[in-house]
This record gives sequence, structure tokens and C-alpha cells, in this order.
Amino acid sequence: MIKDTNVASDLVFAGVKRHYACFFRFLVVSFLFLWMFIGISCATGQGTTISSIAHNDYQIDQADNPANGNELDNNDGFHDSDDFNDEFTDDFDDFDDFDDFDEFDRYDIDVFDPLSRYNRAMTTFNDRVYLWVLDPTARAYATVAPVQARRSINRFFRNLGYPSRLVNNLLQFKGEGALKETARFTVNSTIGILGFFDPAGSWLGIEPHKEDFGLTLGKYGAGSGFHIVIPLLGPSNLRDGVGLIVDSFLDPVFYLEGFYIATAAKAADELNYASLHIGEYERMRKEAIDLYVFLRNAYEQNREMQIRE
Amino acid sequence: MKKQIATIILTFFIATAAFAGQPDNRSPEAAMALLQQSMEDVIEVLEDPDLTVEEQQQRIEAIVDPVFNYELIARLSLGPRNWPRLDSQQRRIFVERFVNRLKDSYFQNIALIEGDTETRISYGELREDNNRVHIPVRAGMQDASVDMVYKFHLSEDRGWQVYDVEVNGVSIVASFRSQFSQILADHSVEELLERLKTLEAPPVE
Repeated sequence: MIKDTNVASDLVFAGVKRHYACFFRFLVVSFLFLWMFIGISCATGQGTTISSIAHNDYQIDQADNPANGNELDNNDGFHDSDDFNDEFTDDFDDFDDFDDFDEFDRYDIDVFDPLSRYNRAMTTFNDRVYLWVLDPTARAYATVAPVQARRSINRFFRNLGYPSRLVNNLLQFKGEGALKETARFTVNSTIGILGFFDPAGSWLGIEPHKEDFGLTLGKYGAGSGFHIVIPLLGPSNLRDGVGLIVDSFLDPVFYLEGFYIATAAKAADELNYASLHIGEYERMRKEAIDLYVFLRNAYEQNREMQIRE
Repeated sequence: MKKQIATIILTFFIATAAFAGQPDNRSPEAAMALLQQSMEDVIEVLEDPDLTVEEQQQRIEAIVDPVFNYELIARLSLGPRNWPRLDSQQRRIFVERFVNRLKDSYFQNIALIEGDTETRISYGELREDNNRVHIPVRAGMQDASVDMVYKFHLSEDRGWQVYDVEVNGVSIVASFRSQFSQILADHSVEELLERLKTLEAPPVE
């Protein structure tokens, strides 16, 4: 009897071990989904649509949310701030401009960012890893490998992302995107020799239609939840973190035998990608006054645009 | 002789056509024309091999300055919540430093995007809203493309001027607004002014 249960548990354990990656990801997905629903219900995340509409949505969100309720009063700004009037009457007519440009007002309000301490620390960590490790390595690699080869490798990895792009185009009922992605994958995998070349783009002019599961969720109204900086990968949020894990099921690289080989393949992809974008991150971070807020805001604005498209 | 007459007639027609077809300066098409013209001028400067970097920067500034409403961009970036926190002296310093920074970063980015001879610029359909016009511009490069939106507004005395630029969906004003409100939530105005001094990577917190 005892022996039997041992066998049973051994079997289960072996099964779990064999599929431990899948199992682990399943757990993480469920956990993150749970988090996301909590996140959505209390998100003050940056809205979804064009300014004026988003602004209205936002006010409704605000009204529903007791934690940020008092922000609403401050939103209209200077009208309440009588204490300023004595000192600052000189430029008072300037305020006419602000009423005309309320499209930016939603960026005034504190973003719901429960992980901000962790996020700031992780931003610093990622920043240093990029500047001290990835960037020098990418520069060295770039001096050895010719740029055409690196572009080909990059195209090869992008071509492998086809399953996820197809599924997400379909999930969003983007027939044209799905067709074009399929045409690209077919042409580039065959005539383009496993995707190392891009005849679909350069000869036939078929542009890629990038979609991922985070965008699919966003399309169906999921808020961003809150911002999460992922180790090594950089800015993300609850919605896109879930998306990343779901998409990884559709990523052929993750099905490579052995954890180390898959990780090495991912690392090679990242290094190769960085070698094609040397100096861009350094230039971008110079624009920042507060690096973490800058990256968070840029990430969220960029994703909002992709969801709108 | 015949050729001369033809030339004169042609010139006349072109002149009248240009005059008659001239949309008034307040129409949305005028914003589009203004943007296209200044883009072409900037590219011309960037592709001129005889100019030094300083000369390029000077000429680009001369082209771009009248198109951008820098002061409005500065004020919008600080926003209605924080603008009242600055006294008039601080406002002057803020606008001055902010505009310098903005110009530096604009010059660096435009040189990168449009200085590349392979870059193809295409203009999207303009979106009109009251006295504002948003013009999408795509700069297609070898492996990637940059999507920009130039946002113009119509002012009484200065015609169409840019009040914000979006790069890949990231509005510059929104980006600064979120950073300034965070900094001013934790730090003093003086600290903000200090950080604006130069265009260099910020200290990591």
C-alpha cells in the first residue's frame, strides 16, 4: 500500500518534473491573473484611449476609487489654491492655456504604483546590467560579427515569434494582420532561408503586424494594472507580464530541450538585438530627469498607442 | 523670343496659382505645409557636407524656432498643478533651462533620424480638432521605423505652432509632466531647477 502510493507520487513527481516548466508557468499565470483582477479593480492606471475620452474615463475611475478620491479636487488645480494667490498674481493670465490643454492632466495625478520601491531598485539594477555588462559585450560582439550577419540573426529570431503574433492577431479579429503575418512567415521561412532573410518585406513589401497577448488583453479593456519592472527584461506591467508568460507558451525557443539551452538562446537573441541598437539606451536615458518615472511613463504611453492601433 | 514669352506666361500662371491657391494661414493645410517645408529645410541642412556640426545646429534652430512654441511646451510640461508653485524668478529660470534642454535633445534626435540618408519620410492624414491639428509623420529606416505626431495649435498672433511631439506614442509633454510631478512631490523646486541644468543622465535614486 505504502509502496503503491510511493509509485504514484513518484509518477506524479516525474510528470511534474518533466513538465515543471509548464506547471510553474501555469501557477505564475494563475497568480498573475488573480493579481490583475485585483489590479484592474483598483487601478488608477493611465487610461486607454484618446485624450478627451480617456480624461473622462479617468474621472469616473477616480470617483470609484476612495483611495484617490481627494485627488479629484486638486485636479482642477489652481482654482482651489487660494494660498498661492497672494504671491503669484503676476502671471495669472497664463492659466488660460492650461484649460485648453487638459489632454495632459491625467499625467499629473499620482500613478497607482504599489511596487514603486522595488521597481526603482530593479530599474537601477537593470540600468547597471545594461551599461556595465550587456552594452560592452554587445559592442565587442559588434566588432567581430558583421552587421549583415547580426541583422540576419535578428530576423531569424523575429521570424520565430510568428505563432504568438498569429494567435494574437486572430484573438483580436485582425484578419489582415493574421494573413500578412502568415504570408511573411511562409515566404521568409522558405525563400528567406529559415527567416534569415526578409524577402516578404523587402521584395513584396509585406509589413509585420506585431501583436502580443498583453495587447490582446488591452484591446478587450484590461487596464495595465500596475507597473512592474522585470529583472533583465525591463519595464512591464501586470497585464503585459501575464501576456509575456502566455506568449512564452507560443514561443518555439521555450520548447528547446533543456532549460540552459533555451536560456542561452534567449540571451543570444538579446545580445544580438542590443548589438544592433548600440548607444540608443544611453541616448534615451539622457533625456530623463527621473529615470524610473521616465521609463515607466514611456513604456505605458507606447503600449497605449499599440493598443489603440 | 517664343521661349521667353512662354516663360513669362508660365511664371505668371505659377505666381497667380500660388497666390490664389495659397490657403489662408489659419487653415489646417497651412500647418501641414509649414511642417513639410521645415522638415525639408532641416533635411537639406543635415545633408549639406560643408557644414560643421555647430553651423548645422544654428541653421536648424533658425528653421525650427518659429515653428515651436517653446514657452508653451515648458508651461504645459510643468502643468497647472505645479506652475503656481514657482515664483516669477523661478519660472524664468525654469523656462530657460527647460527650453535649452529641449533644443539639445531635439537636435540630437533629429540628426539621428533625418540625418540618415536612407530615411524615408511620409506624412499621414492630419487630424483636426477645433484650433488644433495633429500630423502623423513616419520616418522609415533600414530595419525600423519611427512614428511621430506633430501637434500644432493655432494662436492668435503667431499662427500654427507646435505644442507637443509624440515619438512612438510617447508624448514629450506627458513624459515631462509625469516626471516633474513626481520630483515636485518629493523634492523642492530648487532641486528640480538644479536637475534641469544639463542634458545628462540623472543620478540613480
